[in-house]
Amino acid sequence: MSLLTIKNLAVGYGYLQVIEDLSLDLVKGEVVAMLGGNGAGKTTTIRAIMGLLPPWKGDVLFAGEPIHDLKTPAIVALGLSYVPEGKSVFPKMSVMENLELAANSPEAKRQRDKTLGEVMDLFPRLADPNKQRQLAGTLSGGEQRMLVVARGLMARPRLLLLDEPSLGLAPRLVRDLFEAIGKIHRQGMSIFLVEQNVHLSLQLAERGYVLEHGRIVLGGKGSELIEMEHVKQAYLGM
Amino acid sequence: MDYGTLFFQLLLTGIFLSSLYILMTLGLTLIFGVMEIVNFAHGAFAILGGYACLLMATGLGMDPLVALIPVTLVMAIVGFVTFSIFTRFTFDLGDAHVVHYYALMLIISNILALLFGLDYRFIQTSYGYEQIHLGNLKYPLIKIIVTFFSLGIVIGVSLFLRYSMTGKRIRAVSQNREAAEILGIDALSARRITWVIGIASAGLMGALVGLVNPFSPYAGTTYLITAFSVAILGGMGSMFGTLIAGFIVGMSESLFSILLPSQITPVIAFLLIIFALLIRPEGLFSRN
Repeated sequence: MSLLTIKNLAVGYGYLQVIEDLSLDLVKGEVVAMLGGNGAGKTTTIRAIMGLLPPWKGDVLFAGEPIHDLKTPAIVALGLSYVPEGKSVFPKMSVMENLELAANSPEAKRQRDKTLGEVMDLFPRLADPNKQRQLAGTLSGGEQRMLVVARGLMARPRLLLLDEPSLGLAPRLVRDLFEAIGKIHRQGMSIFLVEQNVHLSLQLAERGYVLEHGRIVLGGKGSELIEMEHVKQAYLGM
Repeated sequence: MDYGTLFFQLLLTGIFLSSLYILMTLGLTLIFGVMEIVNFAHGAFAILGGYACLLMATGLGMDPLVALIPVTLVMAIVGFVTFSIFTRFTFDLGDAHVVHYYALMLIISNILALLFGLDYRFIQTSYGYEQIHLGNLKYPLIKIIVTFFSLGIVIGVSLFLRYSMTGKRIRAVSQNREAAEILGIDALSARRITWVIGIASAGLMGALVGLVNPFSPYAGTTYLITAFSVAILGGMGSMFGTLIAGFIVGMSESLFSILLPSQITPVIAFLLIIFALLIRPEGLFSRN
């Protein structure tokens, strides 16, 4: 059964329409990648799903229930966890406090210590007790990104939405991060991955969509997309 | 009086003033930090707290210090109501919100003037004129009590913000509102609690000042200006900055009081602030 379904979504900022008529779906346990260049509307799509930007038209369904009229806290409570791009940590709070703040649902609170253990296994860099007391704003860029992903997992979500996790990271850190995302997936997590790094994304994702100028221009299995001429030329520089 | 005793007296007065100034600024800087609202009505809420305490002391015969408990409750309700019918609708106004809060200040002051008249009032206690002896020094007991209560409230609020889960949520909203919301933290509720704490602390401050200084419906402006100076010196929104700046202003006012006529001492504090801001225009401990 489809976990996330978007039907004919249109959304934008003010008078500026960014997404016109976008439809996609994601089955439970799947990694679905949405690819596209800067300004294609990737982040806008996630913001519309999370209720941070009210959709103009169309439906967003989660596990069959419409969520496009709900406010962000209600959507989070249903089990969607959004990991935004960039360093969106709470800079003047410790790493531990950053993680604690993400466990808000009753389920996430009950399992908080267990989740913390799992997250530390995924990101050993954050497991050092000294690191956990450090203010998040003083971490390196890569560590902050890991903290943001770890924070997204603390909610024990049913669907993880990752926005450009590789952006601005050194190649080695990108590999580490994608390895961790792969592990999260193998543990059964459904993931909606928005990326510019087409190569890594399509290796990880079962299926992918290519977004250009607010429309989906291609869709299919990850292994098929990576072979398509258009994808090769536009995104892989071949 | 020998120099040692004099110094001790100046020190005590400095701590007394500092603790009041920090409490005066606490709510103002907290509300600004979490919702970027400059609450011009801060001083008026303080005066409201002063009258609430006065009424409970004279009307119900309560000891003013005991009355601080119901005053807190009343001011929390006032905070809750003003948030629901006023504050929550002013978040998207940009700088124009200052006009709305100036109007709120006038509304509160004028209602108080209508109810209580323009006379200066004073909250009396049975022990208001007692002195305590510290070596050679005699010092008013009430000032020491007010110092302890002010510091107690400041420490209480700080510990709440630092260690309670609600306090952590409030700080998260203040540091990055959108990141907080996507974790499922209800920013509106965090702002509501912040506003209630800010208004209650203002009311308590008004009652405590009323124990040592007379006040009238329009006296809130003086509190507001002091709170602004401390907040700006420390860096608007910074709790740590407020502590340090409140201490600097309170101490310097006390120390300069022996050198200069009392009318001039507030000027010294402002000169100090102007000087500090010339060096660090964003405040000593700005958030940004």
